[in-house]
Amino acid sequence: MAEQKQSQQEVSSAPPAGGLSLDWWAVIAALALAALILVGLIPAVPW
Amino acid sequence: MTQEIAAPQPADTVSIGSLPRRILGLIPGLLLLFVIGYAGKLTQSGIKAYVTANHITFPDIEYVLWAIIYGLIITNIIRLPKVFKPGVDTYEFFLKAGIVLLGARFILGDILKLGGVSLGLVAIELAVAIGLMVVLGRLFKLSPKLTSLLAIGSSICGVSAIIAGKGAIEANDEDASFAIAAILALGAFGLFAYPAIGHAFHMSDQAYGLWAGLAVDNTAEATAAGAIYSDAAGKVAVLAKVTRNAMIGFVVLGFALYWASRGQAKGVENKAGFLWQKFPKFILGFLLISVLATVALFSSGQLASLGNLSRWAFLFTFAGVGLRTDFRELRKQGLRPFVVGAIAELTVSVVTFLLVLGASSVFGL
Repeated sequence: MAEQKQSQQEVSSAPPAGGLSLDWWAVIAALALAALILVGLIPAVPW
Repeated sequence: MTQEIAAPQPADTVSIGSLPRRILGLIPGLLLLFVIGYAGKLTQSGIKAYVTANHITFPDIEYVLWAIIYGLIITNIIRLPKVFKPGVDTYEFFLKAGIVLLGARFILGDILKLGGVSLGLVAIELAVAIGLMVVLGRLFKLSPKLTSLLAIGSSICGVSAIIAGKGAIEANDEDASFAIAAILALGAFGLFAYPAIGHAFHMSDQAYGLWAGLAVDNTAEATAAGAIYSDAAGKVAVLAKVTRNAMIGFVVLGFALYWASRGQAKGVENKAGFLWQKFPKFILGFLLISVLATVALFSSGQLASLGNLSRWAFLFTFAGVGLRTDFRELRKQGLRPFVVGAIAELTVSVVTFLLVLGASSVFGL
C-alpha cells in the first residue's frame, strides 16, 4: 500500500505524456488573456 | 484521513483526456467560488457605502477577508457538498494565473529593487526558519523526516514545498499530512493576526506586504494576508512570496542530498534538471508580463485591464482559501506537529518583522 501510494505520488508529480503542469496551464491562460487584451478582442476589464 | 488532508492540494498536472466531462464537473465549484468572492466584494462596498452615508467611523475591511470568512462558514459549519470540490480545487490555478497577470502592475525596476531586498531578507529567513525548525523538531521528538518537511514548508512555500520535499526525501504520507495540516492551520490564523498587527504598528503598505510575503507560508494565504491589508500591500506580498518560492528547488535539493547521504532517499543525479523541475514556472510568466509592461507593449488602459483580470483571478483564489480550510480535519492530525510549527512560525514572524522594520529604515519602504 505504501509503495502504491509512493508510486502514485511519483506519477502525479511528473506530467503525463502530452500533459502540462498546472503552472504551465496558468501561464498559458494568462498569456492568452494578455494577447486578447493586446489585440483588442477583450475590451476594458472593470473591477 | 491522510488522503483527505492531501486532497485539498489539487493535482499539479492536467491531462486533456475526457475534457468535456472534466469541465462540466468543475462548474458547480467554479460558480461557488465566484459567488463567495463576489459576495465578499459586495459586503465590502455595501458596508463602505453605509458607513459613509451615516458618517460612521469603521475600518474598510477588504473583500478578501469577507470571502474567506464566508468560505470558512460554509466548509466548517454548513459542510461543503462533494459536487463542489473539483471546482473549488481550481483556486490554485486562479492563484497562479493571477500572479502571472499581476506582473502587469510591476515595472521591472520595481521587481529588481523590491525583489533584491526580498532576496536578501529571504536568505536570512530561510536560515532562521530551517535552523529553528530542526532544533524544535529534535526538542519535541518529532520524526526526523517530519521535521525536514516542516522546515521546508515553513521556510519556503507551505504545501507545495512539503509535497515536493516529500517525494525528494521519501517521507511517508503521514508525516506529509502532519506537516501540511500544521502549515495550513497556522496560515489560516495568520490571515486574521497579521493585518491586525500591521495596523497596530502603522506599517506602510510596502513594509507590511514584505512581512506578509516573508512570514506566511502558503502562497494563497500570503497573497490574501497582503490583500486584506490593502491592494498595494497585496502586490508587495506576492512579490516577496514568489521570491521565496523561487528558492524551492535549492532548499528541497539540499534536503534531498542530506537524506541521500544518509542512505534514506534516492540520490539526485541531474541537479540542474532537478532545480528546473522544482522551479515554479508561473514565476517566469510573471516576469515575462512585467518585461512586456516595462517595454510599453500595452497601453495604460490595457495594463489596467490586465491588473483587474489579476484581481478577478484572486477573487476566486480567496474564496477557495476559505472553502478548503477544514478545521475538523486539521484537528485530527494531532497537536504536537502543530505546536512545533506554531513556535517556529511565531519566531520566524518576529524575526522577519524586525528584519522588515530594519529594511524599511534603510531602503525607505
